[in-house]
Amino acid sequence: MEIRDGMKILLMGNPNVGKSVVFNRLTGARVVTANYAGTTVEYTKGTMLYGDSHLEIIDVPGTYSLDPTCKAEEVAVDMLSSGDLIINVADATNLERNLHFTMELMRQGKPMILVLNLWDEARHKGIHIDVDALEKLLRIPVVTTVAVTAEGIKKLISRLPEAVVPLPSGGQQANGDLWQEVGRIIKQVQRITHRHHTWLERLEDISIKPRTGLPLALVVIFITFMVIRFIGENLIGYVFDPFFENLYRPFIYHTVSYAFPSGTIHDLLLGTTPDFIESLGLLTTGIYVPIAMVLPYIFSFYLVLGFVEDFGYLPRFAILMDTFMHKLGLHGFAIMPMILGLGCNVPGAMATRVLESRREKFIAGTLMAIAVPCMAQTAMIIGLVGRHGLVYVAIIYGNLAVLAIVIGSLMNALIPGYSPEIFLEIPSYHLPHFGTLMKKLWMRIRGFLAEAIPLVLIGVLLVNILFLTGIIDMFARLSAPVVVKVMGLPKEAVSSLIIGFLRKDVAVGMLDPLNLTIKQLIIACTVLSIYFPCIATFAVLIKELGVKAMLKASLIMVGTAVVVGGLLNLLLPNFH
Amino acid sequence: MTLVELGSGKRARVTAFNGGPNMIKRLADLGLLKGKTIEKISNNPFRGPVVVRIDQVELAIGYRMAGRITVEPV
Repeated sequence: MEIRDGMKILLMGNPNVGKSVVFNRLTGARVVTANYAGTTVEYTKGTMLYGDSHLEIIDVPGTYSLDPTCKAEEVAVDMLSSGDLIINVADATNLERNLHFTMELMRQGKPMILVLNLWDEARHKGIHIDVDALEKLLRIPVVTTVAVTAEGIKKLISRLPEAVVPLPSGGQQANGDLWQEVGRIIKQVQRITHRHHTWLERLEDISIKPRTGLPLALVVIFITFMVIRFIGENLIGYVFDPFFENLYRPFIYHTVSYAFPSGTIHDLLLGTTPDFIESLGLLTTGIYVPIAMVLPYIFSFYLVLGFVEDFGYLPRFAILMDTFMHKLGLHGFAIMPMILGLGCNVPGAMATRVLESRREKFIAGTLMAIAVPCMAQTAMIIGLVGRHGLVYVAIIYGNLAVLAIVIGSLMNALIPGYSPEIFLEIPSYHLPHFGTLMKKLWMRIRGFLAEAIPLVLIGVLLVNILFLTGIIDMFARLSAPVVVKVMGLPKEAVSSLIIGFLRKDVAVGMLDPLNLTIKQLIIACTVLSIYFPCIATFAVLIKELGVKAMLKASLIMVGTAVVVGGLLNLLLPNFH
Repeated sequence: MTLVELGSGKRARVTAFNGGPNMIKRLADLGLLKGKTIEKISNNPFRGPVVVRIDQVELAIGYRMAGRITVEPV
């Protein structure tokens, strides 16, 4: 078919076949990719330049069939009618099942081209596919690719004009026949030769069998935390702190003092104390907190997460956690939103979409908002609480873990319905591709910078306005009965709770000048995590759960915060 | 016997599904069809999921669903 300007090209196929990697290659855009099903939950649009024509490329969430069974699949099927051309991406290592979807797509009357991705992987696994024969049988162009290294992408682009509307062939009416037809094709084009197991495959077995997999999971979690902390701490200690103290501080103090020797603007920009965290100036706290305290941990967390994601470990972890997660009314795969939430609650909330029922989404979204602190908050907690001893950081996270179990069990018992069972494809292990890892890391860091810094600055500005206008005092008096009497915090802690609606990192930072006891710090940090998600997460959760459900979730959060704050105040000893 | 009862490391042929069209469709979507030969990889304790290999793919199947899949050891 002729390639025209403004054409809509859909990338479609089974989950985890590499559609998003192909998308990134075609458009130069960057969307997050990972080695498990359901990374893309919403379609992404990008533009590809083809000669002088701008083509709209749409990365459609993966789907196993055109008869959708979950929200991400519905998105895929809804997109279908709007496309002018379909690039069907298939996993060459699993041709039979992928071809079934191809045959379903072929009945839609759209021009198509088939991409056999993971071609190198198929070769390694001893899978031989006769591409010419497949092309003749299907009567649509077939291209082989290794999208992570860009192999075959040029060929795919050059063959786009050959895309044709598939001709209906005889005998493919009922669904049962379709599988038989796929079987016939497979017999003609695919040959599998025996070969020895690789070490990656042995590792796959070790990590999925519970007897070896569970101890291994503990080791993986331990190493993951140690690596994240090691990188984060050293980046701060050797790079960011020296830079901010030795270069940034003299520079901004000189510049600002030169322009505004004193007065409101001077105080607004630099704050009133020299401490970067306590000063609450736009250029001091507003820059230091997101860049020097949070960014190093964002970097180390997403570096490690990216590796674990692309390696293919997470679905195996999800399966090992399945039995436990059922106690909380979820199944194992619901661990994904929680793990993503540890980085940032926003992608975590979006990932709840892979869960099948509204009940699961509600439980998972609420649990994440209550008990999963994002990396920005964690970095601040490690920075401020950790200097009194890591055991206090451990107490905060221990509180949240226990809370997750209690609240999850309660929701499971009280909310009608049951949790669906896990049913999921486990990806093969891949050694991550370095370039892809770095791109993904950069994308996530850029996302953090673009979203966090403006909100942090607004937060700091807001604090100043609230203080100057005396509004904070009003709130402090109003909430004193709860904050002071029940939780045992000073009434000034209210300002931190207010800013926590915007950014949790600034909120934790605002506890610093209050000279809290360790017990109060633990209570405040725990309550800050529980009482409400930040505004960005809140917006996504409203979209995913609906206003009514989110109202209920919010009540659970606020109620839990008060109860937990009070209980900790009663039960925790006074640490010295 | 059912997939739950099949021993780990054993191979078997899928003979029947004791479930509605919805379940059968979900299983088929991931390539689990009547007549297919599967290899059981593991059982998770406390009624956890069953892991099987089918063709080149590993699937995790919830305990209840696995209990409704009848297989014949080969």
